Formats: sequence, structure tokens, C-alpha cells
Amino acid sequence: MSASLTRACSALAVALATLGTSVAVQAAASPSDIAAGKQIAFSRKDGNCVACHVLPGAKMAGNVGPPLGPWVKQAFQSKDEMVKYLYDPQARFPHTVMPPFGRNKMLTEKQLQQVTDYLWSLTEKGERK
Amino acid sequence: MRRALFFAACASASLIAAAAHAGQADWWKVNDPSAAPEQTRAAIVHYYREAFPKLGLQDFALGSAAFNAELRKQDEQIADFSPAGFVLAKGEKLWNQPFADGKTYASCYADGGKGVAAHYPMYSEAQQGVVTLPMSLNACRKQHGLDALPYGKGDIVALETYLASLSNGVAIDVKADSAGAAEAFKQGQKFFFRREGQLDLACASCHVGSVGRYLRAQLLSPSLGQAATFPKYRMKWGGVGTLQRRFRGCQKKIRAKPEAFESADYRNLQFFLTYLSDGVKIQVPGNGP
Repeated sequence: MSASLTRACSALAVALATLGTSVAVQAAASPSDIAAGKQIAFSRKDGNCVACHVLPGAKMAGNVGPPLGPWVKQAFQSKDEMVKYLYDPQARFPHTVMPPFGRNKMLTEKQLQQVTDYLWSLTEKGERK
Repeated sequence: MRRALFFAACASASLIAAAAHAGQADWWKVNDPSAAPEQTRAAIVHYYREAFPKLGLQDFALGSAAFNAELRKQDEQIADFSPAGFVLAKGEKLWNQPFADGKTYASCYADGGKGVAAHYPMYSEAQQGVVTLPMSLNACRKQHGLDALPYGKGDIVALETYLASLSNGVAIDVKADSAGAAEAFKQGQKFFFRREGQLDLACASCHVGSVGRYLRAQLLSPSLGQAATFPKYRMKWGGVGTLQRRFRGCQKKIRAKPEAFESADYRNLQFFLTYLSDGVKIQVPGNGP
């Protein structure tokens, strides 16, 4: 990322924070969907996101990918876009090592949405323990 | 319109920054299917030296412990109580057991087997394929009227461990000079970089692109140097196993179908991996978690 773009993005982030929630209008997720998404993200046999990503509260999480936190909302324009990304990350980054959770049927569309609801709900960044 | 573009630029810029974190930059570029084996080896070694400038070539034989002093200490402790010594002793005993004609395995190898493992796996023009140490051991048995041993466990692993240990301290020197050998190397390279299984991962996804990073609690080892310490005692196995056993474990993990020991794919992959480690000194049996 170029320095000027970084500065401009930081300014945008500050502006967004000032505006609060009124900017990104998203359907509110139910607490049960968020909880289900978290369970999928932490479970070895389902999403197993913590194999590669640090998440708040995760023990022995990996660091193959970046720690996940509130920043993920800024990486996608909408929840739908995040669901699409989780379905097949290679569609966006051909060389990413991230598995195609939807394309290879590891998670259902509903589960991808729940994981998205959970990730969208993050208010803090986890520390690797 | 301009505003929308700006938003999109910010979004993709932060995601690109995230993607770059997932591995060393552009690691996949070391895979050039049209390059000669020596060019590919040089590109991969160069990549490792750039990514880990503090490590010497031999350090990569430490595996994931190369990146973590605590793990190095742990491996040394494992070595202290490792049963690998028993496997080595069993291998030596088998090695010295005379065949019906009074000869031993040593008669099948130059210099009684000393330094031989540095040249294996070897491309055989006669067989038009890669020959591994266990295959050479079985060929020796056949010459002396004995049945082949089953691959992957038991006596053949003990024998391979002993035979490989006769090259301890010798630098790996696998050649890929002929057209056939270059093709075997390329097939191994193709396998190494091919994504497969439900997780859609290649060997290289972890063992080039994410080396030195943690998969949960497991530190991912470098492909460079891997071949120098197998057969190896792994706590996870509770025993000594071969590099091909590790291939099977990796394939199971990514939810792909593991192949049989000594399949053409595995032999080509082992040939590719061992060639990459040319110059790394053999230390068998290795010890690790």
C-alpha cells in the first residue's frame, strides 16, 4: 500500500469511526448466529479458522494468516462480499493458501453467513497466546 | 464515482496487506515448470536465504526448530530418550545378517554402503524411474534369493535407517543430469506445487509459502533440508518413519487420498525434495515432535 493511500485510508477510518454505525448499513446479525459462527471458527472439524488466524479468546491459534479483528469489516464492502470470499478466496487471490470453504463443501452457505456474522461482530483484535 | 473508487481501493489495499502476511511475498514464483532442475533448486534456495538470512544451509536440516531455540532444545531432549537408537541397532543387525550365500547387504553397494545414501533417490536409466534406498535394499534381497520386504514399516525402515546413517555428515549429492531424471524432477515439482484435497492445499502452500509460521501449535518446517533427517523418530508416531510416511500424513491432513509407499508420485516427489537439499549434510535418524 502506498504511503499516501495509507494516510488517506487512515483518514477514512477515522471519519467512519466518527460517523459511527450510520455509514455501513448492514442487516443486524442475531446473537445466536454470531455464537454459531464463533463455534464454527473455533472448531477443528468445521471452519478451524484458528488453525491459521488469531481470534479473540482463541488458545494456540496459528499465524499462517493475519490476526482477525475489527479491520476485516474494512476489507469487504458488505457481508455478502465476505461470504463470497470465504466461499472461494482464490477467486480474489489466486495464490492464497486459504482453503475454499464453500467451493469444496467444508461449510454450507448458512455456515459461511454465520462465520461472517461472527467476524463482522468483532470489536477487538486477539493476541497470540 | 471517485468516492466509490477510493473506498474500493482502501478495501482491497487492506486485504492485499493481509494476503501478503499469509506467506513470504510471491513465494509461488519459485515454481517455474519450464526451468531446469538446477535453476529451480537455485531459485528455491535463494528464496529461503532471502526469507531467513540468518540461517546457513545446514540449519535448514533442523526443520521447524531452525526458527525457534526452545524447539531446538526440545528436539535435543527428545533425542536423549529417543528409541531411534534401537531402530538403528536393529537395522545394523539385519544389515550384517548373512544371506544364504554368505554375503550381506554391504556386498550390494559401493564401499559397503558408506556415503551411498547421499546419491539417493537416484534416477535409473535402466528402470526409467526413480529408485529409492528401500527399493535398492529389496533389489539386493532379490539378488540373494530373498523375498522383498513390505515398505513403510518394520525391517525395511530399520535397514534404511542404518544404511542412511552410514552417510551421516556427507552432503546430499543427488543428480538430475539426464532427460529422464529432469522429467522425474519435474513430475515431483508438479506434485509439490499442485493443490489438492478438500483443503485445496499444495505441499508448497505450507512448506514454502508459510514456513516458520504456526498452524495452531505446529511450526511449519522448511522443505529445504527436510530430506536430510529421514528416517526420523517422531513423537507423534511413537517410532521411526520415512519421508514417504510423512507425505501420507500430510495428504491425510489436507483431506486428500494418500498414496501407497513407493508410488511413482512419491518417488518423484522424494527425488525433487532431496535434490533441493543438495549440499545439506545427512543426519539420520532425526528426532522431532
